[in-house]
Amino acid sequence: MPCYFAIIGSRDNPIYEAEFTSPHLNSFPSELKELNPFILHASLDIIEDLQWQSNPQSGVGTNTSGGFLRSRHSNNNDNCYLSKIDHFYGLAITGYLSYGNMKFVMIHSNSAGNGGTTQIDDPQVRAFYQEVHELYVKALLNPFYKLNDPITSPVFDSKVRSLAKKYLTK
Amino acid sequence: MIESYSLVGPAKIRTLVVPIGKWTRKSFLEKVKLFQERFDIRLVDITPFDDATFNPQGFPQGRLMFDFRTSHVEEEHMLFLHDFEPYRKTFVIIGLVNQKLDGNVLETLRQTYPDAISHNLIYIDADSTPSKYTFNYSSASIETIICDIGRNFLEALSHYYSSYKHVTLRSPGAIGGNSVLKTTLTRQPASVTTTTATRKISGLDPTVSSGVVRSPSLKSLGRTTIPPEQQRSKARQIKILGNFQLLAGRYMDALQSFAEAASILHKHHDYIWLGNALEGLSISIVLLAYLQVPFQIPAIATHLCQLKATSQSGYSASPSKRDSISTTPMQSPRNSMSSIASKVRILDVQDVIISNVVKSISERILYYYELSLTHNSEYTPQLVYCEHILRMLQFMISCYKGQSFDQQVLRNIVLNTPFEEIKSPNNFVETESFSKLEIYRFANKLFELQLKEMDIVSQIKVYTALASVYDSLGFQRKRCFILRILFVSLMPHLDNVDINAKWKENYGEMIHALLEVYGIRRTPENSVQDASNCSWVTLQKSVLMLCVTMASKDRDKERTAEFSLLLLKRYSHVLTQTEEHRLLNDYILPSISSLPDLQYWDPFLVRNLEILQLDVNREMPRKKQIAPININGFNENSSDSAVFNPFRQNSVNGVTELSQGGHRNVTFLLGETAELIVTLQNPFKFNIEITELSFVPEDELYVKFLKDLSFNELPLLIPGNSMRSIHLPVAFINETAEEGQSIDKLRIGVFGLPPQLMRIVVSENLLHSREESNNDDGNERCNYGCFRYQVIPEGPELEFVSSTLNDNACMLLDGTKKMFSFIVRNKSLDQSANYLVFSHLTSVEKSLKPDYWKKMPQDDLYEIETQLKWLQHSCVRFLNAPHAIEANSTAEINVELNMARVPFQFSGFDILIEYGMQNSTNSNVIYTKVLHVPIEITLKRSVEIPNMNVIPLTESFNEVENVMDCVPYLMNKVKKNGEQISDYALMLLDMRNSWLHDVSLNVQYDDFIGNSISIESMHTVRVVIPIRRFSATLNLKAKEIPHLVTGRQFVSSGLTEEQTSDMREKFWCRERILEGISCEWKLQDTVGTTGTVDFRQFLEKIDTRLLDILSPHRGSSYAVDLSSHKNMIEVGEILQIKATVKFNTLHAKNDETVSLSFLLFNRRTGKTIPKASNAVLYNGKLTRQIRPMHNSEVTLDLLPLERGEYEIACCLNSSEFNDVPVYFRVM
Repeated sequence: MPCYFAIIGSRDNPIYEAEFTSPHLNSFPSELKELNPFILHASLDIIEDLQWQSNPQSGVGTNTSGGFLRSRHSNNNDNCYLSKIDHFYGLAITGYLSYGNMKFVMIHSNSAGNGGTTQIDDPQVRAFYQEVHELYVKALLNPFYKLNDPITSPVFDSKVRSLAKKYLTK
Repeated sequence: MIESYSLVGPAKIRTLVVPIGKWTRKSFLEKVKLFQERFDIRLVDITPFDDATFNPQGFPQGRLMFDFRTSHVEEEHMLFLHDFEPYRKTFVIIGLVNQKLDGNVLETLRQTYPDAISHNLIYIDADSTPSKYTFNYSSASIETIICDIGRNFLEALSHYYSSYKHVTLRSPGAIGGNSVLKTTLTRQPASVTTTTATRKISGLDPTVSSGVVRSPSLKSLGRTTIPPEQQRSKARQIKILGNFQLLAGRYMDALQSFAEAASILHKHHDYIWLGNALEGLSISIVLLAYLQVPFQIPAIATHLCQLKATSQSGYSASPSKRDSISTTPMQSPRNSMSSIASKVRILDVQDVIISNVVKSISERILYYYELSLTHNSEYTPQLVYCEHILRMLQFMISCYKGQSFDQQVLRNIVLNTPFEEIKSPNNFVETESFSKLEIYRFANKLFELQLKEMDIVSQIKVYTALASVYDSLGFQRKRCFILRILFVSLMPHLDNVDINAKWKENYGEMIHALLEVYGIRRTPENSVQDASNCSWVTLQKSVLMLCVTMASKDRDKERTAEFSLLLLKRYSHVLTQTEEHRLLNDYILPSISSLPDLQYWDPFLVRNLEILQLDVNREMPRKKQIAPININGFNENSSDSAVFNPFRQNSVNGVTELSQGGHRNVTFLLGETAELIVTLQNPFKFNIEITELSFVPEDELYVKFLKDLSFNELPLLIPGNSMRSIHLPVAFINETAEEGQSIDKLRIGVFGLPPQLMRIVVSENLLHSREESNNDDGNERCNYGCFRYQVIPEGPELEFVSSTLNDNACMLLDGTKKMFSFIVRNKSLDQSANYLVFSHLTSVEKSLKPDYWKKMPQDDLYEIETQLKWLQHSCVRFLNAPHAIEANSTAEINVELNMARVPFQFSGFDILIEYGMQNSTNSNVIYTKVLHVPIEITLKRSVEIPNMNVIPLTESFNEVENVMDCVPYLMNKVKKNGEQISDYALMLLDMRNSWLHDVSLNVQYDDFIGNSISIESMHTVRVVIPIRRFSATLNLKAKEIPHLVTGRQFVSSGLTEEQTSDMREKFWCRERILEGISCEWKLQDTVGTTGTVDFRQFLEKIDTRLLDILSPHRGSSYAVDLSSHKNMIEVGEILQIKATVKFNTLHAKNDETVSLSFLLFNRRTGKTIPKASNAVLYNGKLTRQIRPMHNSEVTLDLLPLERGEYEIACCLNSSEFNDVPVYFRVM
C-alpha cells in the first residue's frame, strides 16, 4: 500500500517528507497527493491530544501499555507508537511521538485504492517507526544539524526508504 | 453561515419572516433579531382551544419553539423528506409590514407562500386593525404577539394533521426515487457490518416474529390482528404524530407516540422509520429533562439499546440501579423475547444520565439507518444520516463544554444560550460527559460517507458544522482542514448567487483562521526569527493559491490582490514561472487601477545606489581648514597624541585600505553632471517594469535627473531573477551643507503603481550572523544603506601661462643663484582666487620614501634633514606672491632659485599654487585646488672637493720656507697670542674646477683668509688651511646629535654607548669644520658668475685618524709632552729630556701614582734600543713613579755613545703615549 510519511517539528514544520510507493502498487492519485500534507497536518491535533492523555481510551490508540505519558517510566519506547490515530475517508493515519516532541506521522492507503478501510499491521508499522526514530536520533547527533531544520541528507532518505520497503510496501 | 444543528431542531417550528413594505436590510434584520431572541413560549400562556390533539392545556409545561428564518434556500430540495421528517416544512409565515398597504395583504401572503399552514402579519410603525392574523407591534408586547401566532399555528396544525391521518406514508427513498442520495459508507458496510448485522438480524428475526405472538407486553399494544403492512403504516402515522406533538410542545405525548411507533416498527424491520422514531424519542427525553418533568424511559428504548449496548455507557451509570440491571438475564440474545421484556425495568429519569442515554440511542439509530441501506427504496438518505450525526455532535459539544450534564447544559442545548462562563475543558479531570476524542471519533463517522456526492448546500452545512465542532474541541488544524475542503467544494459553485451571498458573510473570518493556522501570517520580510524558521511551505502555498482562486471567483479584487501579493512576497521561491505569471497578469495587474493602496510587494527592491563622477581626471577641490580648529577638535588631537597608539601607523603604511563604509562623503561640484547607478533586484520569475523613478523631495533640492535623458528610458525593464544596474545621468543643482547630504531612499513606481519610498537595502540579516540592526522602522531583517555626498561650489581655476625659462627648464651651476618669473591666469569668469598659497616640491623630496628616516644613523639623518630643510626654505623663494588673482586676470610671480646647497640628484621642482575662493560667510573652511608648474633644472658641477686630509703640525714646520699663505698666519698666531704651533693642524683640500671656465676662489676658515687661487678648467689644486686643534676642554661626546624633526618614535639604534660617543665626536668635529670653512668662487666667464662651495656635500665623515689629530686629548686622563733643549748633539754630550705631564681636566682624577716610562728607539730602524745596549746611556731608570699633582715634570739625562738618529717617546701607565716624539741626532 502506498504510504505518505512525514516527520513534523515542534512548530508544525515538516522536517522530512517521503512517499513510499512501489512499482507494483498503485501510488496516490494526484488529487490525494496534494491533500496528503493537509491530512497529516490536521492529524497533529489528534496527536497533541493523545500526547497528554494519561489513559487513552481504547479504540484509537490500541496499544495496551497505556499511552505516551506512561512511557517515561518504562525503558523501551513502545509507548511512543500511538498506532492508528485518525482516519480520513479510506486513509488511515498512524502516529509516533519522539521524546523530543517530534511527530512521526504516516498516511496509509489501502492497496486496492477503492476507498475501503485500510488495515494497519501494527507490529510492522511500529517496527518501522522505531527504526526511523533511531535514524532520526542519529541525524540529531550530527553537530551540523540544528533541531527543527529539514533533514536533507540523502543517506537518511535512502535508509528510510529501505526501511519502508522492508516493513510497509511489501 | 455556520449553521447550528441543535439536537432539538426537530422540535422547532420553522417560521419564515418576510418584509412587506419598504425595508432596509439592516432595520429588517434588527426586527427579526427581536423575534429570534424570544423564540420560545410556554403553552400555558396560549389561549386554549378545543382540539384535543394539540390543545395547549394538555401539557401546560410544554413550549412552542419558533425557528425564525429569513430565507428558505433548501426548501425545494428537501420536499421528499417532508413526509418523513415533517419539521422540515416551513409552517408559519410572518410578514413584517411597515407601511400602510392597499389590498388584502394577508391574502397576497397566502398566495405567495401557499405551502405554509399559518400566515400572520405584524404591522410595525404602521397602524392597522388587529385581527386574528394581524397584529400591531406598537399596541401589544412582542411576547403576546408570538403567543397569538403560536395559537394560530396550533390551530392550523391540527387541520394539517387531520389531512395526514389517512395518507399512506412512504419513505423518502420511495418518494424521491433516484434523485435521493443514498447513504454511501466508505467502510464497506457490506463486508464489515453485514456479518454482524445479519447475525444480529438473524438473532432478532425469530424473537420478533415469535414476540408478536408470545410477548404479552408487546401484545398489549393491541395491533396483532392487523396485517403487517397496515401495522407498519399505522406505526409511521404514529411517528408523524409524534413529530407534530414535538412541534406542538406536547413532549410527553410525543415520547409515548415515538415509543409506540418504535416498538411496532422494530417488529416490522422498518429500520429507517425506526431510527427516526428513536431520534424523536431521544429529543423528547432531552426536552422533558429540560422541563424537569418526571417521566420514565420507554421500555422499547431500554430494551433496544440496553440489549445491544456494549460500552459502559448504559443507562446504569447510577450505581443504585446497577444491581438491578445486573440481575437482568443477558446471557444470550436468543432467550425468548418475552422473558427479557418482562424483566426489563422501566427506568425512571432520575436514575439515568441523560447524555449517555441519548448517546446510546444515537448509536442504535445509526445502526438502524445502516441496516436500512440494504433496501432498495426504504433506505436512509445520506442527508438524514449526516444531520443526525451533526445534531448529536452539537449535543456532545454542549455536554463537553459544560463538562457535565446539568441544567445549564440542557438550557444551552434547548435554548442555545451561551455558557455563562467558559469552563476550560480539561482532559485530566475525568468528567462524566464526553471526552474530546470520543466526540472526535463520532465526528469522524462523517468521513465514512461520501460527502462529495451530496448537494452543495448540504455539503456546506456539513462542513461548516464540522468546522465549528472542531473549533469547540480546540482542534484548529482539523478545523482549517475542513475549511479547506469546504473551499475546494465551494469553488465550482461560487457563481451561484444564493450560495455566494451566504458564503460572503463568514468568508473573512474563515480565511483569517486558515492563514493563522497554516502559519502564513508570519512576516519573514520583517522578522529574522520568522525568516529563519522553516515552515510547511507546501501547505501554505497550496492554501494561498486556493484563497486566490476563491477570491478571484468571487470577484473580490482586493482579496485576490492581497493573497497574490502574499504569495509573491513570501513564497516566490516555491512558485513556478507559470504560477507567478498568472498571479501577476491575472490577479494583480488588472486590479491596480481599482485598488489605490496596493503597494509593490518586494520591500528590498533597491539594493544599491551610487553616484559616480563622470570626469575621473578632473581635479576636485579639497576641503581645507583655514581657521584655527575649535577647542573640541584640538582636545581630540592632543588626547590622541598623548597616548602612543601603535596602530596609527597602520593607516599610513597599511597594505589594506581601511574600510570606508558609507561614512565618507563623495564630493561633487555644483552643476556637475554625474552618473547615478541604482541596482534594482527582481527576485521573481517575471519581468518588472519600473514606471517611475525619482528622488525624494529632500534630495531633489540638491540633485536632479537630466530630464530629457532619463525619462525617455522609462519604463525600465528588469528581467526575471536578476539584478539590474540602471545608469542615469544626474546633475547637482544646489550646494549642500558642510556635513553633506545622504540619499537613503528613492521614489519608485512599479507596474504603474503609485510610487513608494524604497530604502536602500544593503544586506540581509540572518539569525546567527546577526549584527544588531537598529533600523528605525523596526525591520530587523535587513540593513539599510545610504549614499553620502556633498556638493561644493565650483571655485576659480588657475592655469599656467608661461615663464621666462625656456620650456620651463634651465641649466644651473652648482652654488649659483638665478631669478626667473612665471605667469598664471585665473580662467574662471566669475570666481576670483582670493586664497593663494605658494609652495614648491623638489625632486629630492619627491624621491624620498615616507619612512626614509627609519634605520638611518643619526648623523646621516641630520645631514639629510639639514639639506631638506634648506631645500624647503631657501632653495626657491617667491618674491612677489600675490594675495589674490581676480577672475579672468593674470599675475606674474618672480622666483629666486638658490643652488648653493642643492644635492647633485636635484633635477627640478614643482611650483605648487594652492588656491581657492574664500567666502566671507563661511570662513573657516575653504575648498582649494592645486596648480602644479613643473620646472626642470639640470645642475652642473662647478667647484668640487674630491679629497680632504688633515696633518698635524710639528715644530719642524719653522724650517719650511715661507711660501704658503698659512705660514704667516700661524707665525702671527704664535707671536701674538702666544699659542704653540702644535695647537694647529693643517687641512689639505683638493679643489677641482669641473666647469669649462677658469675659476678664482677664496677659502676662509675662521679668521684665516687664504689668498685667491685660480684654477683652470678641469684642474685640481691643493689648498692648505690651518686649523686650530680642539682644546682638551671641549667635550664632544657629551653633546647629542640634534634632531631637526621632532615627534618621531625612535627605536633604539642598537649602538653601544661607546659607538654613540664615537659618532658624536666625529659628528661634532665635522660640524666644527663646516662651521668655520667657506669658499666663494668666481668664474672668469663673460658674466663673471659667482657662487659658493657647499662643503657639507663634499666633506666625508671624519675618520678616527683625523679625529685624533684634531682633538688630541680626547680619550686620556693625562697628556705628556716631551721636549729637549737640542736636536743635535755630539757624542758624549748630555742631552736632557723633559717630560711634562698635564691633566686632562675632563678626566681629572685624584691624587694617584702614575708610572711614566721613556722609550728609546733607533729612528732609522724603528727598533727599541735594548737596555743592555751601549748606544745610549741614561741616568737612573727609564720608568718613574710620579704623582702628577705634585711633580709633573720629569727629566731624563741621556748620554749617547754612538752616532745616529734617535727617537724618544714616553708613555703613561703603559697606555697613553705622547703625541709628538722627540728626535735627536748624534753627530
